[in-house]
Amino acid sequence: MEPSDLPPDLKELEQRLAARSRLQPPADLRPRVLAAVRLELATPSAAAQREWRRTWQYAAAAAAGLLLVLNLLMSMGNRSDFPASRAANGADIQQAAAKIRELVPFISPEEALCEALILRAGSHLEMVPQLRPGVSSLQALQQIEEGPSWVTQ
Amino acid sequence: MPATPQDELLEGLVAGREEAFAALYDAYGVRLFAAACGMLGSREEAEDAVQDVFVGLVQARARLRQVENLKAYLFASLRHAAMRRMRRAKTSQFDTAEVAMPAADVGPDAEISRRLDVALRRLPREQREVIALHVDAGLTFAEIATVLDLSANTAASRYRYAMEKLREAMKESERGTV
Repeated sequence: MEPSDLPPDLKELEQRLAARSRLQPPADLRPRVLAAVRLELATPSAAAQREWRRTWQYAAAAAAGLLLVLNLLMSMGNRSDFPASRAANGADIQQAAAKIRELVPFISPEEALCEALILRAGSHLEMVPQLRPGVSSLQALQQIEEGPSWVTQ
Repeated sequence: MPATPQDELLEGLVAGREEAFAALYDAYGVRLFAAACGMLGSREEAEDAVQDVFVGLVQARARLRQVENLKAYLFASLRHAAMRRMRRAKTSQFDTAEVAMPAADVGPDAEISRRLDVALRRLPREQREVIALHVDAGLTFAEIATVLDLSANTAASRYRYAMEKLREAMKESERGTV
């Protein structure tokens, strides 16, 4: 439909409507709008803000994941039910574990195996001379002959 | 193909050049304000709605390249801004005291203008909207159809129906019942 399709009385009403006095925008609206535009142009765009927020969310999620993994690793490290039976193949280990259980009956078989393994590891420690920095190999040998202080490593 | 004035204006808006926004205000500011007054019926709300449109343009300037008809886009933004304000204020009814006639206008023409404004305020929002867009903002029915997301025929018939309602309201006003 075009305006010309309106009947004459509506057409006349339309002309009166178009010719009526209307409010004009106040003189200060233009500077006010342009000041708001200037302010908005000076602030970072919504897209940049969203990007910044996404980066922070990613960093926070990565940190949370890392903390979780560290927590799990520490929990694994503190396990008292270490499957020592898999490591304790030798009969001597089994014997040592049985002996430990006889001596300390309230500990579990797994703990006894762990203790037996620790004892075995301790019995295989090698004696090595304690070398201080700045001591030459010859001096170290002389120290050994003189009876050096021994440490286990 | 040579760039049209609208393309150049759009480029300036997308680039965030203040003079482009100033040029846009100079081209459409008065009509936007008139249409906002027609939709909202409050001078202060109309001023704020026009400001909302320009601030919204700055925020959405990256997407402005996709705009085919800047004029229709502007008035669609104005309509959204007006509707947001109406929802916020919970007043879709016009406040007669708010839109007062300019003080200099006196006499029979001013009286007709005042009666027309009062009758307009009594129309439902959709009808006020279509009259404001066609008569106050000077949009064609095709442009109104884009703004209101209607077909051009629906926009035209809505306008005609609104004019008929306005005529009835004016007749009632002449009889002194308004």
